[in-house]
Amino acid sequence: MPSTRTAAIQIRGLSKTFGATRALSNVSMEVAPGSIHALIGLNGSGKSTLVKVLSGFYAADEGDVSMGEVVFVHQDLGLLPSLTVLENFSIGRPMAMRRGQIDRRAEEERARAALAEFGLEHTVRQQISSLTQAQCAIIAIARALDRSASGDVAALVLDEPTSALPSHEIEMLAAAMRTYADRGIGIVFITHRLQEVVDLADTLTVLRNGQLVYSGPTEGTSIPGMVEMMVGDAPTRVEAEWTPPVRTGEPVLEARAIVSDTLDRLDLSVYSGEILGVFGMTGSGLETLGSVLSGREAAAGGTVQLDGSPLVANSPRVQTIGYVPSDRPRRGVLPGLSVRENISIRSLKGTLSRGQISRRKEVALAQRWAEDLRIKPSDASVPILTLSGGNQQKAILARWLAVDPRAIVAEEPTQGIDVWAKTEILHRLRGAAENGAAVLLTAVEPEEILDFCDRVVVLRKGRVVLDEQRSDLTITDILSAMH
Amino acid sequence: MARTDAAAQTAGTSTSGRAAFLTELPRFGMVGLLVIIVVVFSVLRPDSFATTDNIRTVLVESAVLTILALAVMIPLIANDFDLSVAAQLGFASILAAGLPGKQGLSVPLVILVVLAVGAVIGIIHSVLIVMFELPSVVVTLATSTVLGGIVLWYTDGAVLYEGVPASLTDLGQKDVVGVPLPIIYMVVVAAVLWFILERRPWGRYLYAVGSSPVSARLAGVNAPRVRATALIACSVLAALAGLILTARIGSGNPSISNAYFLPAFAAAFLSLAAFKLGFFNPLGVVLSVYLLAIGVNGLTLLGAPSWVEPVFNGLALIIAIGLARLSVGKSRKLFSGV
Repeated sequence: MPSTRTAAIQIRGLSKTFGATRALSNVSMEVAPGSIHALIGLNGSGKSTLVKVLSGFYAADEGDVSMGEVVFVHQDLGLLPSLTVLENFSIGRPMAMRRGQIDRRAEEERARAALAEFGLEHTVRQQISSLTQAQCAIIAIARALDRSASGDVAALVLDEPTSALPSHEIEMLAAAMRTYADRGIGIVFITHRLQEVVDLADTLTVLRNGQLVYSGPTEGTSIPGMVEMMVGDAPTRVEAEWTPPVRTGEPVLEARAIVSDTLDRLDLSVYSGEILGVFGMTGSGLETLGSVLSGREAAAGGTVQLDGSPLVANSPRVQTIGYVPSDRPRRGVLPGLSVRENISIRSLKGTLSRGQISRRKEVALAQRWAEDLRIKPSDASVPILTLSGGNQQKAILARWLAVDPRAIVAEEPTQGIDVWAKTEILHRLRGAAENGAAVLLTAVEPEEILDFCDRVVVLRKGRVVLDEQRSDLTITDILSAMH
Repeated sequence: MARTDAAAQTAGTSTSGRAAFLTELPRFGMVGLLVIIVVVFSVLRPDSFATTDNIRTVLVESAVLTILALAVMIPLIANDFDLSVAAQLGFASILAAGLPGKQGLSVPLVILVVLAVGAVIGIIHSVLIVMFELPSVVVTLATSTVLGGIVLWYTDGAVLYEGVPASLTDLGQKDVVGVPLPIIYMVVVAAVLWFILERRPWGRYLYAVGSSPVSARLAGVNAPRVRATALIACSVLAALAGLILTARIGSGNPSISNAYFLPAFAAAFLSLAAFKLGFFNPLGVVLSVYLLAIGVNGLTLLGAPSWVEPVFNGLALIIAIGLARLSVGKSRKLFSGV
């Protein structure tokens, strides 16, 4: 029984190395039964490695972990959107059977019972896609616990459970977490939102570069204190040759009082020659900003101005704005086509000779960009899906660099790509800015791209809360403004 | 022709010409198959198969089907199905016979009206499928049924053969420098389509939309317009095929369209396995129609009963699509439709 345990999860001296990288170094922490424990740290601090050691995905090099049955719920929840809540509960485990048929009544009772204490039993016959994000998250947690092998779950590990939630829904999930904790389950949750740590967590672990910085009660810590622990005394690196670009004339891209589901009368300008980094947490409006400013989606209100005149979404003028979406597999690459065709799609008019696409010109164009951005392999005739994520990203960037765009909007440009590709891509974006383009980059994790920005804007709740030259800021300022 | 520069480019970037040759080989597998079939039947039936008359018959008989299969192929590239092409062909064929016969229209006007009706059907499809985002399979199944009903009303189920003017049938039965006109039409349609799909930006945009409608739109491709144009082009070509059919046989048969439906789709899908592997392509469609037609013709001359034809067509389709999957590999989807 839970009460007999001293700890739901106990970790002692855990270390894990990948090649030359020390992902975790002598980390110890303890999660008490019935407590809520937050795990925070910057990108690459070792949070995900720690969770993967707990789930058994990685074996630790050193140290030991003692725990009862632990249930994991990942960020994407794993629910099937077109099925009902009941079907999602039943699928993937043996179903209650009666006379050779699925016993629908028993199945429904079981799902209702699991959801009753959260007031969600009425949703069992509804489709997942008709529910709110918070309801889905609770259902995913209830389903994971429903599948417990022993029926005695000691701990629940939630990987960024709130990152997809709009802020007004977080309260509902928080209440559900509290309910489970009151049953004696120890809850570990990873989050980027420090306000939640203050509101929700009893205890807290902070990791930095694989090292344990703090593990203890949340009481007595503050958001600025947490930011300091996450960032440490690492100075913000400033490129030696960096001088802020001279701002000339009118903005190239300008948002005027943009309203959407997450943006609240947002005003924002990007000027020729500068790289603007826009940072914000999930739910801050960052996700819609890129597609609206690049003219790919219409906003509910307000206008986007390109070179001083209003930009109509999806009109031919948007072709002068390069757009690198964050969902590269589904929104960036043209998956059936070759690297060449992915690069040249916007430049075909320039390859026409006597009314037809000159194969020679098109191949030369794609080949030049592939070699210029060091796309591997450099043979542009291969299917784009045979390339690594970083090389696919380079090809999508090349697509836009090839048309010498007025502006480039890149969402999470370095997400999921290796460090070499990252450097290459950021240098190319700098090059585009030097050629006069207005460059806007968005990122949830500012440490990823901060060094390459000239100016920084932070969004919170759909509004700009900080807008300053990068040289005047430290990462601590930015993280504090985000939270 | 189309492939020489692409092949040369691949050879140039590969480590050896021999390896390039081997990787290029699957693209021409169906050409090889056609050669083998022709040689085998020529040896087995030198007196009936390998004659100019027989070859001429096969080529002329399949010209209309080839144009129809090319029509089907265009929206398929963007993952839109036009299941009504055969019904549109039947409808156009009936109009081409009935408008001069029953309504007394002149031949140039008949041609204009039939093609315009095709365009109107294509526009209706575009509005329903692209603008209102209804599934193409359902919409075209419905219009197909409606067109079949109108044909029945217009003809009372009887073949229209009275009053089809000679100036119309001449367009389907005469030769130009020894080549029957239907073959010339077919070659022109295939060549123009090849040019547009391979050599014009529009063709690339169509393949891009087929690859990923969302990515194509975000890359600045006007995906709705590209899809709508493809559906309209399909309907106009289906009308043209119906016109040529009536010109060739000199009558309008209300039940003739049934025979065209499956072969047209089979040839379009077979094109995935020829030349541009994994992509619908016009040269592949032409090759596929003739591969199937010559195979069936040879088997008939060998004395095979009539049930052999559909069995042959069906098996050829499965084998070809299987070979296409093998040669394209897992790096990309073969076809992302429904």
